[in-house]
Amino acid sequence: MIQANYQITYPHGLHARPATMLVSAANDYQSKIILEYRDVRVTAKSIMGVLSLGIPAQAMFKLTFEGMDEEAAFKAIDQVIFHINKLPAK
Amino acid sequence: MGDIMPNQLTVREVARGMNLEVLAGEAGLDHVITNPNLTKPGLELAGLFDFYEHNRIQIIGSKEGVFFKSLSLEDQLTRVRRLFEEQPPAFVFSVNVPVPELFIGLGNEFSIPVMKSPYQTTSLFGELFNFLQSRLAERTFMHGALMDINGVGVVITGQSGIGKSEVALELIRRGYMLVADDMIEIYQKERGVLIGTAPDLLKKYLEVRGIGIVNVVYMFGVRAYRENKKISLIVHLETWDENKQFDRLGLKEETEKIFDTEVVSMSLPITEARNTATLVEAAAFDFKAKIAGYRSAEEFSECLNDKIALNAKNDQVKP
Repeated sequence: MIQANYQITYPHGLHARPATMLVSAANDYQSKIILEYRDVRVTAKSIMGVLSLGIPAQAMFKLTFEGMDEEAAFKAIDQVIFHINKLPAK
Repeated sequence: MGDIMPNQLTVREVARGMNLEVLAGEAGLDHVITNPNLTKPGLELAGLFDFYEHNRIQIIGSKEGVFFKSLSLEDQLTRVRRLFEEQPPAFVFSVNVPVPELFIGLGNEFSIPVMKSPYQTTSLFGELFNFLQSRLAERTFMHGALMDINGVGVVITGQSGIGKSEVALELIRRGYMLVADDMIEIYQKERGVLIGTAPDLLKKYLEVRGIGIVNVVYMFGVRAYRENKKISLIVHLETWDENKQFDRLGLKEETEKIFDTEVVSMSLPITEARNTATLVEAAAFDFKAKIAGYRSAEEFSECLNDKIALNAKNDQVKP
């Protein structure tokens, strides 16, 4: 199991577009990927679940990876969040 | 989309389509019309032929009829003969205008049809122009099915064997109307308005693998079929592809261009677990809601913004 804490610095927070990027990357892996924010845990593979958290910019959240390809999943998601934080603000 | 076919329209087809009574010049009924515009030869009857638009159908309304009668016999003879000499495709009189013997004689002499319309001049102009324009418009073909789903003209496309006809069959069963299956003939009535219809031979027929050719009118009744429909939405059925990104929230709107018209289009990934007819139906309803001004995806996006803002505020209070 891998655990990591993240922060979205993209000014609109984890809104539709970044959430879609995160979820589609998560769906490339078999591992269970859990996103936790303010004590609520959702699977990172469901768009509606991720959006329901309404994660704002600068907030801390936790990602947990568990499964055969957890290492690869962690690396990929880490990259995606790096990209999200580089997105130009609308 | 298929090849664009050139269109040929004969005077005979116009006469049949517009319920025109042929009074003279029947030998010219197979002449081809290429120009959808119409003209009233008022100036020409007054003796001015510089602007004579002889490649158009000539309309004689009550004004021209009365003016003709006011001319001297000599002017009548020379001017009307000149109208015929330039070989216009046809003359059409509106309902209240008595057709002078001179036109009948010249129509037969020059083999130019002289016809009478059941309409008054203004409606004749409108109806005939619409008829000519729709029949002379360029046509293109698209592989797919066209359905009228609660007033929304939906084109269902996708590769062969993906189940377009089966979806059409299920939608007909739910009370919607089939316009075309397999081949859709499309023309642009005007910029922004695309009309789809079935090629003559295929009208009313649906081909379902394993069952064969089905006449939907015979099977489901007249309510299951409609002659033509404005195309509003294109739905591409696609096999589920792990690597392909489909629009998850519906915030983006894609369009496809046919002639000069942009049509909203979307891709629907299908699997055995997804009821494709229900999905197509939902897409049509969502489109209708958008036309009515309601956008669920945008409303959701607004709510999400509020939630994010609220969380941000709470985070500041209690980090």
